[in-house]
Amino acid sequence: MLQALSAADAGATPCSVRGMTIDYGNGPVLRSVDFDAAAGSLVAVVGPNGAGKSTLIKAVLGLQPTVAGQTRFWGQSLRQARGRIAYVPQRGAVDWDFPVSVREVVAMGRYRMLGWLRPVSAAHQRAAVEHLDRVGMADFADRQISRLSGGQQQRVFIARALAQEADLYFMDEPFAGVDAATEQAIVDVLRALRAEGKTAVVVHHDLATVRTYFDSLLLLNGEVVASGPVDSTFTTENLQRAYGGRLAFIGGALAPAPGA
Amino acid sequence: MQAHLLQVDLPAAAAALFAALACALLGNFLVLRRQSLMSDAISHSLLPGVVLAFMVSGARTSGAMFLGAAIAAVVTVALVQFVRRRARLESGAAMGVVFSIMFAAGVVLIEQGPARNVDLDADCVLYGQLEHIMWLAAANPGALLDPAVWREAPRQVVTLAGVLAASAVAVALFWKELKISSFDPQLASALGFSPRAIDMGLMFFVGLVAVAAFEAVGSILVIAMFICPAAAARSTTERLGAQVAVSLAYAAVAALGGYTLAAFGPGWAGMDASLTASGAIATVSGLILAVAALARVRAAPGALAKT
Repeated sequence: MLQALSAADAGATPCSVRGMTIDYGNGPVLRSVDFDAAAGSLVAVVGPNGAGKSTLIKAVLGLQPTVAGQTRFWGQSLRQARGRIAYVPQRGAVDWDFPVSVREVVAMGRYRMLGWLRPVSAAHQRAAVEHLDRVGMADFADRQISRLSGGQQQRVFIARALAQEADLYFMDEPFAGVDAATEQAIVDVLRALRAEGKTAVVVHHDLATVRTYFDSLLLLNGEVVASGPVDSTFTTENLQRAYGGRLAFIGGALAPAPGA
Repeated sequence: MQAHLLQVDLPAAAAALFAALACALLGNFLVLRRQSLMSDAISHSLLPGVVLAFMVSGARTSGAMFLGAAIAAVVTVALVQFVRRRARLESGAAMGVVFSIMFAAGVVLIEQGPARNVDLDADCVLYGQLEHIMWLAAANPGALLDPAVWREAPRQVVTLAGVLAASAVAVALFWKELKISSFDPQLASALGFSPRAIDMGLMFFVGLVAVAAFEAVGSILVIAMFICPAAAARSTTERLGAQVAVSLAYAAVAALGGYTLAAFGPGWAGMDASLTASGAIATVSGLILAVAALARVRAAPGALAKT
């Protein structure tokens, strides 16, 4: 794992997006997005509903057709870098009634290492349980996934991404609707990733925690409103530009922000 | 009586069993992907493919029919995706539009030109002809030891056995790929397992199984075989492996139970008649599904509230 982060790409940016434009056919959803995620940083992607946050992540991962733009990972194409990138979709993106156990879901994170046709070996099964342990879910390994709370399901998704042993993580709203224990578990995971020099790009909706959880910010509203270190970009002025009149409702949450 | 058992009942029951097992096996993945209606769409859309293959080749050979059916299956899948995207319809509506038009085209074709002169008619297509599958060479139990008798095994049964074996091998090989692309196609894609390729592969096999089965049980009843055992197993199991195993057991019970009921039921009841085997099999399949659903409601009253 550590050798993956070795000399060759020590200086290269884990994720670099240029001129990304996405259009579903009714005018652009995202216009000419430029954005860099630095190595070892935790990046919050923030913006009002419909700002294109999830769309951007999906486009970067090649899950969403783009009109223009390109993304490089450590200077490489998605194809070349795929094994170093993990993705945590929104919890609602899958059917939690699906007949699989927690362990099987986490083991899916190992599928790329296995490649086509090869079954999941005992070693990979054990790895799945180890990664479950990192989010405090090892005791639930043999449970059917529908028998989990929303927060536990989210932690299973995080464990599955960890099982990919990637260097760059994309997470779509991991904090949405989770309990306090899960929120803490996810924050711990993010900090552990940063300590290992890894990078996480996280779609986030809670403005009150942006400063405490993240280093960098990508503020979106159909286009990039601001991007860079949280200290210089997470300003009332920028938020007002991104959220427009809606900022009034969240003003209270913002109050402790300066200097917090 | 014994000869009748071997010559008529054995091949027909074997055809029903193989068809039911192959359909149930693939049906599990259709149900989990919420694509149950795709079996309906494909089994109906096969008709124009089969009829065209028939008109071009001029013979009712398996090779031409399979080719026509496989092409029709792929065309159907592509058309459904096209209609869904361009007409912005939900997938159920897109499938409904595509398969009813394809089936209608098949019905028009079947009454025209060369197809009219041969033994391919609408009844056979809709209801199948399980009772027409015969193994005349198997005149007595001793004949079963003779390899020459096996070489004369009915074409439909041999085809179904082959399709069942091919499907089983494919599902076993691509088990992990089918699992991830059914559960989370976006992750599958992000990990480099093309969900579209897996989907096309699955649909190709659904087309193969549908064409092999529709000759025996008809294009309408084949849908019950695809969906009922898998849906029943889905509501009573918590693991994919268990679900597939249970669905195969249900399929076997439906096929053999349904056939027995049709062939011997009226006789046991003192009536001189027989029921349509494919109809009886589909009915038993439906009953199994109903019982499984009711059992689940009893076991977990909240199950219905949860989607």
